[in-house]
Amino acid sequence: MANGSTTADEATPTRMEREPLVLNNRSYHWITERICGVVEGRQPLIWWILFLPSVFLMSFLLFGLVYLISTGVGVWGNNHPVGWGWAITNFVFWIGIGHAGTLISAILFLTRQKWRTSINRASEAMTLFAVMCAGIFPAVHVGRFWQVWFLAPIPNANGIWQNFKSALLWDVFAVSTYFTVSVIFWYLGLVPDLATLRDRAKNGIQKFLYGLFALGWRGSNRHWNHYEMAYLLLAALSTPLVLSVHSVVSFDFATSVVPGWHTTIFPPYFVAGAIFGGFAMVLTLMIPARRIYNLYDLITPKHIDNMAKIICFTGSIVGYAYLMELFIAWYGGNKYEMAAFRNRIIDGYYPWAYWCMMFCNVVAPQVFWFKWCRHNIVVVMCVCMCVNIGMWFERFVIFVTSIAQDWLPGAWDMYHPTWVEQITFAGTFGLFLGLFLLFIRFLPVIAMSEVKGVLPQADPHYHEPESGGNENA
Amino acid sequence: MSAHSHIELPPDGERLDDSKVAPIRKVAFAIGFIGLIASVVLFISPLREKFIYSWLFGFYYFFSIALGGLFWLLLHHATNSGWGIAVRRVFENIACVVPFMLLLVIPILLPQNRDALYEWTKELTRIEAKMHGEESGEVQAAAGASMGEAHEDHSLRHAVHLEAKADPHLHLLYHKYPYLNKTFFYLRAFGYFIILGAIALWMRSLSTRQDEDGNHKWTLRSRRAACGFLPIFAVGASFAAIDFLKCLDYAWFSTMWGVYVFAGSALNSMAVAILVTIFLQKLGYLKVVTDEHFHIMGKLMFAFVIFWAYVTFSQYFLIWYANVPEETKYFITRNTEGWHIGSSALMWVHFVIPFLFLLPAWVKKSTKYVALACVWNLIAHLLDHYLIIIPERFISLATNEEMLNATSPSFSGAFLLDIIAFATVGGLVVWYFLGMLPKRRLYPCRDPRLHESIHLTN
Repeated sequence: MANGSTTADEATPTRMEREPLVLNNRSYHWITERICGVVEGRQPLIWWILFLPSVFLMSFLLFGLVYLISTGVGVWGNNHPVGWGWAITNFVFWIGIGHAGTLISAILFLTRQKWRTSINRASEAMTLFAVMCAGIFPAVHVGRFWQVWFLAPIPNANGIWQNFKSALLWDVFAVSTYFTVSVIFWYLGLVPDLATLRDRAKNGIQKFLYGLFALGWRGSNRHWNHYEMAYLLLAALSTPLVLSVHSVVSFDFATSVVPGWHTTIFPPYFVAGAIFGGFAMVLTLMIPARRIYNLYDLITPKHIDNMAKIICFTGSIVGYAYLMELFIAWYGGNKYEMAAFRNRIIDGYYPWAYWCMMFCNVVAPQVFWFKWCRHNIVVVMCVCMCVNIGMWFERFVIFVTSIAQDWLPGAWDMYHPTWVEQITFAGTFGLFLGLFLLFIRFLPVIAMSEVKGVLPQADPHYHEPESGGNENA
Repeated sequence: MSAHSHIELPPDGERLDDSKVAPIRKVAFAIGFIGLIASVVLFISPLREKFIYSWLFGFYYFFSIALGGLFWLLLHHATNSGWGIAVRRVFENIACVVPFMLLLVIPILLPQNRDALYEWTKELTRIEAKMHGEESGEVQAAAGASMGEAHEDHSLRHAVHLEAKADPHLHLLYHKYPYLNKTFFYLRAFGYFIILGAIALWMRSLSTRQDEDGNHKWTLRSRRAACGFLPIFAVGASFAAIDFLKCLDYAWFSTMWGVYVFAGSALNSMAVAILVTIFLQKLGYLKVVTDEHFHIMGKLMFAFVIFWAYVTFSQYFLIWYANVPEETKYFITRNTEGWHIGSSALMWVHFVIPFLFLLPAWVKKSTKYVALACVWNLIAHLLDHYLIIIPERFISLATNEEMLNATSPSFSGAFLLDIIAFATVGGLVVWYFLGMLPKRRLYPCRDPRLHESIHLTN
């Protein structure tokens, strides 16, 4: 075949095809029907089976918070060395979950990873809900909740300003910026799809509401032109935010001189961990959603495979950071640092938590080296659950073990969460799941316009196959 | 999809005509050869101790770039990328400089040079000599050489322990002995070059074998191999940075170190790859590479400009903020006396200017401007590595008197030595690299994703 040929196409004897992003050669119409159908049709029973317990769980959160605010932070298990217990752990856990969405929508967009289109909408929504859950904890941890507005940089009374040297204040800026930009980015992406829903709506109220939020979108060339430029700019703006938020969160600890907290690798290690945990949560939500709403052709094994690989990769980065921390703790020769790590892994109060973290975050994702595991939904779900648990324990291990046994042995104390903390944390899952289910109920779970854009038909040079089937199908 | 693009390609790929690079190769060789003679003279002169720092600077500069080439190559395979097939051979060749660096590392590994560079080996050598002196005084014949290193190491460790009791400064040396001992150091040092070098050669051989038969199995095999090799690369590159650079001051430590050195190496390897690609295009080759490829490579370089700044800032900031003396010593050296000018300039030269310059898309697509950015980045990398290595020279080698009388914390005239070493290593590396190019096709002409790469749009 290559003999005497002169064009690039012929000089290469064979080609290796990419797997299609949408299976079974689906048309634009099918995609619109399937995704709008989720919103327009009646929700399956399972939606209610999930939603009602979520609301019930959400009430735990409400109760926990009301009880806390009306009584005082003393109802939590925080004690003298452990001034930050579950509250900070939960905060960082949820903030971490919130990283995958923007990573998928912004960084994968900038790197032209077309497979992101099937999962970006849901993961962005998940990001927002996770950040909401995260924001609760520091806000109520301040004690006098009604004065939380003191965090805003306004000279509130007597010229009192915030402590701009405190990493905690930077957190306020970083998280609120991240949330704002994520909301705008998510909403911007929704506009064309909201217009589709508006055009299909049969009920007047629906038509009005979808129309209101579709901002008069008509799909003209001019609209698309502006839309795509805005999308690109927001993606570029969001990308540094993905890095900055968790880096700033890591500064909360790394700027201090607490052994086990102060280590220079924290910023990239936290970011990698956040992406790791975030992807696991995306899969945890999307695999059931794919099944419930029969989205197999849109969220294909290839998507799951790619996400599993990212989990394996970022899990390995996290593993590198754990081991580098251990190595430098020893290599640095600082006895306090060594003691902190010794406490973590051998004879402190919580070595079981460390090994739980190590297994869940480093060992378990290694099964994704094998294709069979990446393609087996049960294995994927089990590993994702491990990662969800492991990433929570990672934060617990870092924050609590380092301060439960700090400088003065006389002050050492074990930290136990009280029932109030437990129900509050459980309640955030209710909030998270409840909001996610509402999102599925009212908004298109997959970005229709973006998925259509990566179909082979969207290519201006696309030829209708003569045999009636996509060459890849 | 296929009919609209006709890039005239020879069916059997492209080979570089030897004669086209011969003049440059000759110049590079002449520089390298003359430099080598000068270096040999310097190594036997009293300037030896100062010169070895210059050599380490020149050596690690080029080694870091070669390592970066290996990173991009492995990453490209592991992610099953299609865009970079047209330029992949460039990365393969850059990565294959790693085994050649084994020859250039030898001066660093020679005992007297090693001791001038690394205080920890110097101390160990001193303690060892003292120990042997005592032993021979007691007429303990050095029989039983078969007892081997293990026995010797054990007793040396014990001796370090005894020394540390008298001189508490040596406590760290005793503590770090399981890692910082000569046997393990040599094992690691050779390990980096042999293992990472073998990986580079192996990856390239898989690729060139595909040039012959076009079989898909080489693509699949490369992907699998690259995935497996990436963790080895991560460990190797990190610990090489620790052993050769961080250990210049064995008391200092930072968990970010490996990531920091890696960020600079990936960034500048991309810069070199872009320059080599432009160079080959100017010679009339690599027509498979379009401005889309330059755009992507420019974007990756841009991303790493940011990543480097992020990592460097984080490391600096956390150490500055926590203000622990064991950690701040690294930056105090570089932020005081004359060095602060370089450190302050680094922020502008390595980040602000290339960041602003590389922002617009048209800059990344224009070979002229992107080449300018690459040269700029490579100069910034020089400054970065100069500041990592050279400030340690005066601290380690200056006598008390020199310390007291110094107007600036460096040896006057030593800058010349740095230039000689850099030119020598650079000349030899360029000579070797250009020698590799004509031996293989310039791009993987039968790669099943070549087509995808040629028709790239982004």
